[in-house]
Amino acid sequence: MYSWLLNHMSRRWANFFILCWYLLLLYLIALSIQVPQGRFRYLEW
Amino acid sequence: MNLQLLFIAVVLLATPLVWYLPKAIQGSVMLIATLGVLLYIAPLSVCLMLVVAVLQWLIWKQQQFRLNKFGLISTVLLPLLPLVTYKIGYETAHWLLPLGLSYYAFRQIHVAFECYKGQAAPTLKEYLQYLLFLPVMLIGPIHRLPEFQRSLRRNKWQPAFFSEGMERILYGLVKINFFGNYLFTSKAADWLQHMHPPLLKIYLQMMAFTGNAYMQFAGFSDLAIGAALLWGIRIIENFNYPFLATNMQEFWQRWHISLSSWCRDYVFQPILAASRNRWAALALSMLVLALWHEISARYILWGLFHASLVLLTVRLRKAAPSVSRFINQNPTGKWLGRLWVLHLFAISCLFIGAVNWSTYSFTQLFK
Repeated sequence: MYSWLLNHMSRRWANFFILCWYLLLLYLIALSIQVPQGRFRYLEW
Repeated sequence: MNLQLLFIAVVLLATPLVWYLPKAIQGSVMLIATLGVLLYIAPLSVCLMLVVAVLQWLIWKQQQFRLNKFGLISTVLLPLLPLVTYKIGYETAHWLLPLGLSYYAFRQIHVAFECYKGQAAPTLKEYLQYLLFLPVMLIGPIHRLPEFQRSLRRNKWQPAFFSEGMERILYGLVKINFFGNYLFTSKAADWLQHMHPPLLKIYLQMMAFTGNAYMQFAGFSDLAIGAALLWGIRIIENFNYPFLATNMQEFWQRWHISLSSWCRDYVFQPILAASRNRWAALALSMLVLALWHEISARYILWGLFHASLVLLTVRLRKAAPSVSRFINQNPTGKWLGRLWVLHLFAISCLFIGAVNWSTYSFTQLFK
């Protein structure tokens, strides 16, 4: 993904997008954190 | 609360710190982050895990990392004790939280075997860094010590690794939340609620369970691998498109790779070397693989079912080479093989609760 970004924009913009993506992921994880972990006992803990 | 996602959130938050601080203390920062989270969630369980790990290491150290049989057996049994105690459902839940104990114990046994073979001699810090690596604590994979040490030594900031890690985390979230929780659990339950006839409903329930199992497990593996990449560590892949396998032997080389390769290295090969009986070795490794999930009759049946499927695959290859060639080489044969594998795995899920049989009566099934 990073190399794709570098092919299409400057390093500065690529880094900026990666930073945005990092913040978006944090937000997504914060949203999903209350979701139960599935129905398989070995996935629960 | 979803603990694995909490762990991933901590990894994400600790990532700037890991890369900002000097390389010499990177490993310690990872270890402290892991210990901090674990001690906050379940202090007693973590103390027990640490005591077992330290005891193991002291035995290895005392034997100068060239273990005799006693050293091997004692350091294999030590991590098995808390694992089996939890797995047989002993009333420990109020003070002992498993915290990925199955993975943790199998990692410890892996290192015990490597020390026995004289191929590993970790310091206590290296050993704890390996065991207490936050991204893989709860949902694996069962990564290996030598690769982890190599990766940690060569670790340096690479934006490509970082973006790949975030990509994997995103894939994991989509697999878990969209495919697993939404499509194969919530929507599938709605669609199947009033479905007739019952046999079709059972078939679709079984397929939805299989799809959910794959999406949840592969999704959580993606999260773990992605989170490890954020800290610059590449760990073993756990799934390699398992439903593209054309036979059950190949399936087990693609599904939960870290566990099946663990069973191959530490159960199948030693038993084969000792007994020269390939089938006994296969049956026992599949049994260990099954009991790792849960110590129960239904998982024993599940393991034996898979052992017989692998056995049949090998036998068929010898007895009917033309059929085997057709399945492995012909494009139509390949797809037939894939469908066959998918259905065999789905049928095996019936042993482990894919369908709630108590909601069906025998006569109702054939209405």
